[in-house]
Amino acid sequence: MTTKRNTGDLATVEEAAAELANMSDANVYRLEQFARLRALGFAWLDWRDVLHEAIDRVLSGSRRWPRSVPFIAFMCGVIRSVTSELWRARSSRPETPIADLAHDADGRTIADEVSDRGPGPEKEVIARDILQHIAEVFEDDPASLGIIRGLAEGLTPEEIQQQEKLNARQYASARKRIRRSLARALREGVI
Amino acid sequence: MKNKHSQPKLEVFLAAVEEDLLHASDEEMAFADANSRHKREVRDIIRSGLDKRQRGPERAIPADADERRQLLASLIANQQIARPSLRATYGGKRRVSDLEVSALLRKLLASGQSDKKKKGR
Repeated sequence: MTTKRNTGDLATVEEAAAELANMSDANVYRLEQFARLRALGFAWLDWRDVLHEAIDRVLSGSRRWPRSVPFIAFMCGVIRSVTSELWRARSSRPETPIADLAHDADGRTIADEVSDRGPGPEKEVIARDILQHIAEVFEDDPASLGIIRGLAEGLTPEEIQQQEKLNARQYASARKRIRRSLARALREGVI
Repeated sequence: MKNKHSQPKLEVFLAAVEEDLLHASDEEMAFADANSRHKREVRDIIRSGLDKRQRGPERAIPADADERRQLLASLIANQQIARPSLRATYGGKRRVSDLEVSALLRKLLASGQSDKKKKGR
């Protein structure tokens, strides 16, 4: 144990680094999937960039791991926040020449605030496109498609089962198919 | 329909998939990763982060966001370093986020290193 004082119940950067270094194969797979999912919609930024950035934030100490949260769930949250920032940045901000970027890098801008009020047109188009591609992956699997639509609507598993007339076993089996097919589609760049 | 916008729907869907992956069994997750190339790639990214941390202040990319932007602006302005396609895409009137700056720098510096290796051959 280090002598460094922890803030609340936050792990030290050393502890987070040890978790990353000793990550299981299952969690390595999860990490890849999280980064691939959240990189959807960014034309030039791929999942590796997202993962690099998330790991940098954890190892630089800018994102600290609360011990009460499983490390892989924490990493999932970091990846999500990395791309959320990008979504915000890509909305209706005033365009700035790259030469001027050094002068407006601090803090949140008025444009940030505006972009948080709702999805901008660019986000909307990209999101619709992604959802459409996901639906196409499952066009031959009505049960999975129904579940995906239900999940996107924020329905509970019980509500989806009722809506799609699936029992618990059929539902679990379809969720497994969704996991596998999504992973394959993400790796093959179909989505 | 609870939400008429696609973006919140996508967000809710992605969160549900993440939750699902977190709760799926380790056996299924490990078995799903039959392709060791992807596993190696993730471990390489982790290792590069850990290596960079160990190198500490020697690292090439500045920790300060302003300094990173200045470095990127000067690299892109440098005709010999930045690829024309990169300048054309990111050198115009486009707002670039802090994350994009970091990722671009990483790519530029990585391509610079591979150029050095090629020249050294």
